[in-house]
Amino acid sequence: MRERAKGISIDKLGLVDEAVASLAAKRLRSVLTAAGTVLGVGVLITVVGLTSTARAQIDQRFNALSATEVTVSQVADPVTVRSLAFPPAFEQRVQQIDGVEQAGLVWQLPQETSAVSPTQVLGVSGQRDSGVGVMAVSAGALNVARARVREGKLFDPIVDRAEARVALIGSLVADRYGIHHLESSPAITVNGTSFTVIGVMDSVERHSELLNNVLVPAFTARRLWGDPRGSTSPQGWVSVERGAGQVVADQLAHAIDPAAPQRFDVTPPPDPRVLGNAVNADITRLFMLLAAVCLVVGMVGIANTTLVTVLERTGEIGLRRALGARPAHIAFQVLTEATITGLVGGAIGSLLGISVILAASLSADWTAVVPPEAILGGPVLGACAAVLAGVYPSIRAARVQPLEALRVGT
Amino acid sequence: MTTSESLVRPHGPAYRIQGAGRRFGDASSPTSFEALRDAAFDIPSGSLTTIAGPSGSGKSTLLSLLGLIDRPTSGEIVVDGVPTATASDKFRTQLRATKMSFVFQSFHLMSSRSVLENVMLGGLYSGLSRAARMERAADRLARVGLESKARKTVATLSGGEKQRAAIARALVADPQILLCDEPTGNLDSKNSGAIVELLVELQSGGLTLVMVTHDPSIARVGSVQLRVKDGEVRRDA
Repeated sequence: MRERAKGISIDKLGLVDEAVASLAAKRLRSVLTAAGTVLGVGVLITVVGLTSTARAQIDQRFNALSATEVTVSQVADPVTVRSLAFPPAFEQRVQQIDGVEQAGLVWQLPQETSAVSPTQVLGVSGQRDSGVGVMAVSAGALNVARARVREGKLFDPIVDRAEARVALIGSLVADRYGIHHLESSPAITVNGTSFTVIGVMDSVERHSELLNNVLVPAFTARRLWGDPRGSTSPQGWVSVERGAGQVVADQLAHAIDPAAPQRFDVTPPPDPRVLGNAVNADITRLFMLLAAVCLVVGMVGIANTTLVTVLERTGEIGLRRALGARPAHIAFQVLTEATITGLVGGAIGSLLGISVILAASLSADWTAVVPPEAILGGPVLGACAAVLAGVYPSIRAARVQPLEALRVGT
Repeated sequence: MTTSESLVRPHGPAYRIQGAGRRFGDASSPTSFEALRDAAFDIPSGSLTTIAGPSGSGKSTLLSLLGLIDRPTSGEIVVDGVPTATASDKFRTQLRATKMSFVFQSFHLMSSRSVLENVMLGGLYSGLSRAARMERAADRLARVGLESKARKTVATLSGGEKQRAAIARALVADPQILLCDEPTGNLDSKNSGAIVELLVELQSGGLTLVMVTHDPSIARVGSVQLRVKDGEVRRDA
């Protein structure tokens, strides 16, 4: 009796069983093989998570600072160039707008009128110093800048309106002039007029240029040297509540001078989302490149270990071929082992990555943000990377001839 | 597999060897070596055939050709009425999976896995389900006297036990032909005798058993005794 030889239907689950049993039998080897995936996926998840966390943090920072300040400047006008468009009641008018917190005026005095020299300071001669500028600032402007003094005090509206001959300096200017204490009432001469230093600032949250200048009250400056002119266009600084920047900017010019709003150029705060997205795109690109490099290194590790494993198992593979395994069965088993390794390695890598994100966020007092797709995608990514890495070793394994079983031990 | 490649029920000999030879390397090369030449003999179905000869005589080469894990460079090897010399790899693999099995001198067991898992492997590629493989493996282990060792790892077995486990693995797929390459080569005389007894007992159930040995006393148990010397095969009995 003759019968056609039909193709054998292999129990695929049996092949998967074999793959799992082979991995379990060589635990240390399996762990080392998975280490590449653990590292690659772990770094990737960490990078994605930290980028998301940092993005949220950057958004908060932008909202807190950049998005809460509106600046307004005086438009250059040949007719009114010598007069100050900002009214004396600028700060009071602006503060009537909903959302405004603080407002103040500031302008830089031209160099020819601001020759500075320290006087009445022990050990310092009264030489002119062209390296330090002079700025006229109102008390409100200092509040907008969130200036803090190391010693002494800031201007207040009373001092400002009293046209007092007082000055504020930054700590760098104080060091430059050797002004270490205010008990001796040190003074600075600006264009022949002496100003008593009443405060030394050590920090500002906005407008760091304040720290490099001698600051005199705006009313005093106007009394002594007249309205700002030329290139020293005055600016109004307005701090606003979060989210109110654009609304305040729309009303500002009319609030300052309803009769001539065209004399003011209002600059609303930058959109934090646009700015934040631009920064985040750069960071994400950089970090993803780093993560991709890690994943490729991990894949090379898997490929290398799997290939070495295949070479070590030549006898076993030859035995399987002698027992009737086709090359496809051998390739399937090697790829299945790689897939399981990658899947488990990816899952462990995801857990490690999330742990790192949580730890980093906790230590920096940030809110951890872990994209859900990163959690689910980690094991899948690990499996895919392992399958790719396992292709060449599986081809090599499939080429082993059954004759090897007689030559090599298992 | 082509349409001419078909399995035949054993009405004739298990093997018909027709002028088979095996040369390693190009015939024109001075390093070429003819391990087997012009072999011609039959191995009846259900027989116990021994192949004896000194080391390097070509015994293992002949066994590789019979087991379809190597191809002859000349002649034909007909297995159960089916010519195989020029058959496709897929067809030859299928014949190996369904008709024959192997017992090796060095056991070829996976030492870090259990005895049961090793034995079950013998039926994986012949299409048996997991349950069937497990059932048969337990049965074959009982037949070779290792049922109590099923859950042990191979590394814990003695040499004789390892060869019994290898024999059990070879029997899981119910082969018609069992090819043994020096099955007592790594065993002491006591275990050698026991393994030969086991193989003879199994063969008496209708199995075609081909056994390579360099031990003349074992060679004498064969109903067909072949001797290989310098690549030439001669029938002793």
